[in-house]
Amino acid sequence: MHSSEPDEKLVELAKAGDQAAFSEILRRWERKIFALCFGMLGREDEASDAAQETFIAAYRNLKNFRGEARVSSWLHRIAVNQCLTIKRRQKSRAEDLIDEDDGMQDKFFVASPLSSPGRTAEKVERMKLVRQAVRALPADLHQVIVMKEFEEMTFQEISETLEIPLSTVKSRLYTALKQLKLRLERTPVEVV
Amino acid sequence: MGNEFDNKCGFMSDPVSYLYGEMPAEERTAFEDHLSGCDECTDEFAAISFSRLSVMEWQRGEFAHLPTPEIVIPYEAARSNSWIGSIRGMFALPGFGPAMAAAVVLLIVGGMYFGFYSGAGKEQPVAVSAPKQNVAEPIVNSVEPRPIAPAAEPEPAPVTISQEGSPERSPRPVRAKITQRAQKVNRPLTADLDEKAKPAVPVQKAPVLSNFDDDEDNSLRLADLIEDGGV
Repeated sequence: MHSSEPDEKLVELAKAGDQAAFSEILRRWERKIFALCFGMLGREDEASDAAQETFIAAYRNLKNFRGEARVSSWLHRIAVNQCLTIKRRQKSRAEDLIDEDDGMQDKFFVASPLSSPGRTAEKVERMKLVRQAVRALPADLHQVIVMKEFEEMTFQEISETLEIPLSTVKSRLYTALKQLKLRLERTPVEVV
Repeated sequence: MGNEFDNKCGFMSDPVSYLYGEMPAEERTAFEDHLSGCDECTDEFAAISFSRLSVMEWQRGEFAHLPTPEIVIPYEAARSNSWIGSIRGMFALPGFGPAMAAAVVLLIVGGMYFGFYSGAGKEQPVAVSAPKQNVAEPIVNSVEPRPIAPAAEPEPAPVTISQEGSPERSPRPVRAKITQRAQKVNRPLTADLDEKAKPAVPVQKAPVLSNFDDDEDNSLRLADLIEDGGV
């Protein structure tokens, strides 16, 4: 019904009480916001909660959206704030709890039926390291790399969403990838 | 551009755009030509390619297969609890954290400022008005209960309050006053003497040394025992 309307128009309709309009916004952005949250948090359950909270917060604050920014920027900011809140909570937990989390996340890895157990274990270990390395990046670099890899956005889209110059997007991504390389080199994967 | 290689070879390039396939075709060819002859740029490019591959692996291994969670917006609840929702939503809004931090800092600084100055202002009146309590309260209370007072009536009372400005008060005998004072509080007579010594000091505030109510203090005092015993 509202599928052809631009985001900004949908927000106006939702403000006027049109729930279907907000459902359309949700349908358009839920995968990307979930991807962003997953990339930021590294856990499916937490990403799912963060995505849910993002859309609820957006709905409750519809009246505060004045159309100065894009809907995508607005949603991304809310999502990033939700993720950062969750990350802060995680930081305050004990270190052993975080290790437990990582162990739990490993269960979700889908191994190829053709790969050997040794290779699968190596891959699982490797992903754990990548996840930790990405999470350890500064927030602005972390966000850009997640938007690129998980949301599969173009540089232009990231630039518009974050409201930063295109060159800054590329620069951040380049820095993020270089820092990631250094972090991954410091902790080489032991092949089982 | 801010994302060029840290190359010393001087070739200005945009490796990130190349890596993600967002480089125009003509630039792409030039970049590839350069890479084939420049080891430094090749190493740099290999480094960021390795990182990208790692993140892609993570994305494919752990995220790509995940279904999008079903997100349910409690529309009615969100509306009926709109004031709670607004408060919760504020926490999620960008810039809320810094704004709250600034407000807290302002409150603390303001509190310290007023606390310091109001604290400093309070100390002065206490010091000035302290002698006045020692003099004023017993006179009022000593009028009724003491039969000893008439015996000493002719004598002028050196300890009566001159600062009060109440001329209708009759002068009190020293004896009666001292007895009464000893019975009420353990205040030294030096307070009265001090008062006498400094009659010119204007006392403006009622003294507040403590909240202790003298009238209700019926406990036995050492001064009474001494007096009753005739020691």
